[in-house]
Amino acid sequence: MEFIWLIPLLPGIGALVNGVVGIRFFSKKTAGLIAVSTMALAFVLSVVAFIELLDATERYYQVTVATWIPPIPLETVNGLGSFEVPWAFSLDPLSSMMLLVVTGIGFLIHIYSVGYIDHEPRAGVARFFCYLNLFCFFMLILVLGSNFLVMFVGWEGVGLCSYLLIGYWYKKKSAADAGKKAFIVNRIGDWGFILGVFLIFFTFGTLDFREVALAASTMPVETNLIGFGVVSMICLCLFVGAIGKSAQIPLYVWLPDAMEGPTPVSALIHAATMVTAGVYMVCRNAVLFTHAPMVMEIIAVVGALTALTAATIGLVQTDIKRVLAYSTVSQLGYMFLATGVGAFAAAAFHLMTHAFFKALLFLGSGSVIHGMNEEQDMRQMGGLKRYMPITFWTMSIGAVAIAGIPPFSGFFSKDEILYRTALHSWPLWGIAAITAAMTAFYMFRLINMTFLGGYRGPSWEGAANKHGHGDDHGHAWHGPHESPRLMTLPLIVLSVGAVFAGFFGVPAALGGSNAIEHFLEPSFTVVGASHVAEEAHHLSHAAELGLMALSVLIAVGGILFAYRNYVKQPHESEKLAKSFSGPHRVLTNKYYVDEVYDATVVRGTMESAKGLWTVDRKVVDGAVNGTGWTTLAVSWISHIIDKYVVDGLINLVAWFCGEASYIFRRAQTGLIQNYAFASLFGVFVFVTWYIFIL
Amino acid sequence: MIGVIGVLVRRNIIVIFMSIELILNAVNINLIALSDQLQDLAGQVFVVFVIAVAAAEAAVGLGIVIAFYRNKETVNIDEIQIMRW
Repeated sequence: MEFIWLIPLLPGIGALVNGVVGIRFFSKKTAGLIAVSTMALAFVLSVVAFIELLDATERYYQVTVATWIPPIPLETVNGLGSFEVPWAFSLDPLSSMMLLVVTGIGFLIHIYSVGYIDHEPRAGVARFFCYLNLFCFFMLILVLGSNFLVMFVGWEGVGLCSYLLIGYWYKKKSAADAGKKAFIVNRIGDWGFILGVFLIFFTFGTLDFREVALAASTMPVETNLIGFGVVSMICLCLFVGAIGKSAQIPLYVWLPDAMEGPTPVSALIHAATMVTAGVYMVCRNAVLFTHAPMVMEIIAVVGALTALTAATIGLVQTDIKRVLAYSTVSQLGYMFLATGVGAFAAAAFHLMTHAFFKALLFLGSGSVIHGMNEEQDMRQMGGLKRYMPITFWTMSIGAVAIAGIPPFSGFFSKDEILYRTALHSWPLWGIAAITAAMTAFYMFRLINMTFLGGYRGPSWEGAANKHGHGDDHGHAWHGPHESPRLMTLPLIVLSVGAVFAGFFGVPAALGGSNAIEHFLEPSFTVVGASHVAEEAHHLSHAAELGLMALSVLIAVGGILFAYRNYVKQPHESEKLAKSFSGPHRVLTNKYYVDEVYDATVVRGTMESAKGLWTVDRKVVDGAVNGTGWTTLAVSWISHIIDKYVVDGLINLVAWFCGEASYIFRRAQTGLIQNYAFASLFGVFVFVTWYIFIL
Repeated sequence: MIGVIGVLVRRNIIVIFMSIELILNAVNINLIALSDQLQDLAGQVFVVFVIAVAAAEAAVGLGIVIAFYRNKETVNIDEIQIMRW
């Protein structure tokens, strides 16, 4: 397993090659080939590492590649500590699972991208693959990083790549704006994350995940009795980071806008991998979080509320990608709900299954958009089943999986979360169950509106004539069509994953062994310590089965409701929307959250900036101008003094000399005889003096 | 004495020059007379020097007068007063 540092490096090399050489010289094929092959290699290495990890007795491996920050003395709570950060990567069950998800799904999405991005100009393709590889590089650093700082490098890096890829079509203003929005909102979260990292070092004197967990396990659990201590503060800060990255309330607004990017990007970054980084980070610090039950409570509530809010918005959206975006936010809420109730394994499990079916759904929607000539509005679709059967069937599998119908993967992971939530608190379970019903409804609303019913889109004969060969893709649109094999192949592979990924975690109540939970267990506890969060009360198997049946019933209900409203009686939904026009409008406008943020945060920032500008103009500039004016005044005074006093003195002397010279000037007659006479007179005087006086 | 009065009274610059020569030659006669009286050769040597200097002075002076005359067309000392303040 010495080679795990190679796994992030490979896509990094791919990004470098494509970025430095590729944008200038590579053809579309070469650029795609390099990106795909690096990802394939990384995936193979990940599989090898995973198998080796399974064989190892102690399922933990750490490799230090290089020193980053050499030991420097730095003050901590326990006196002077040594601050040292190596470039270290570690492999344990959790990171190996994430590794497989990132490289595996990343690899599939790279293949898909080769087909999807084919219409772009040549340099754009290389740029796209450069960004995509760079993203995988940072994401793998984030996953494999053995301490908080290395993870932070990945954390920031994926944020950067997310920004670059959302703004991939940078000439489109909405895409550029969405990129900026994602970056700035993420920055708020990163601020919390880095504060948490500072606090961790200040408290524990180390940034290594294992050492921190070990140190934290000896600290008291900060319940109500002990109060809100330093561990709670750390966890809260880290959670702020997770909120930003994983798009939870109140920072979820960037994710739906992020759909401005190319669809493979939405699938890879904004569904499968990057947005789950927050969940991953919380899971990685499970020991820390279990010592802060109050923060766990906050996480659970935030997660549940996010799941519900996003699901309700998803009910009425008409843009196919936006529905999926809100669905992602909602599912991420589920994951946080799971971590909040202490079911870290369930969260990680759901993370994995969600990565499969959400990547599948996004790629499917990309295929639809591709086939519909960049149309994203579901009201313009319908009946596409006839034209793109592979996309329809694979997407349906994804939808069934996310809705939670057994035996698809979503059922097992979501049910595990619901069950653990029910153990924890019934109101949260209620919210989660309602969300599950909504999820089933909006997913099948999407499927029905897109693939079933009659075709509602533009007619393509006319469109083909109108556009001719001069449209922006260089070829006429001959109606909805199935995507090329490069795009459908990943769909099929992912749908297989979406079907079977759940079998890693069949719960005990159904005769399974819940393998994934046991596999992940070591990552959430400290070596040698007893199981920290042993559940005190278990429901009976019968009750568990009852809950499962209930959630399946809920899901089926949602699906049937969607079927009735959008396929059987397509006008029913409009009637429904009319009779609840108030709530419908609120939901269509996404609870006006963007407007509220715009009016408060954005406007507030702008106004305060304007205020500061005014202060700058009035006070600072005033001071500067005042100084200038004072200098002018002083110089004027000294000028006056110079002119009248100094010059006056000099002129006075000169004038005096001039006036005085009038007297003497008379002597200068210019007549030689006068001078001769004067000298003769002088001689007489002196002779007289000499003779008579002396 | 005659020479000194000539210098002071006459207006013609040439006459003034001649008066100056008179003064110098009077001095020469005095020097020779006194050297004879005192039996000292230094007086006569001095006279030779004075004659040489007088010749040079006459040459320079007459040169100035000629140059001046070319400019002003006059040798009247009263009209030569450009050095006046």
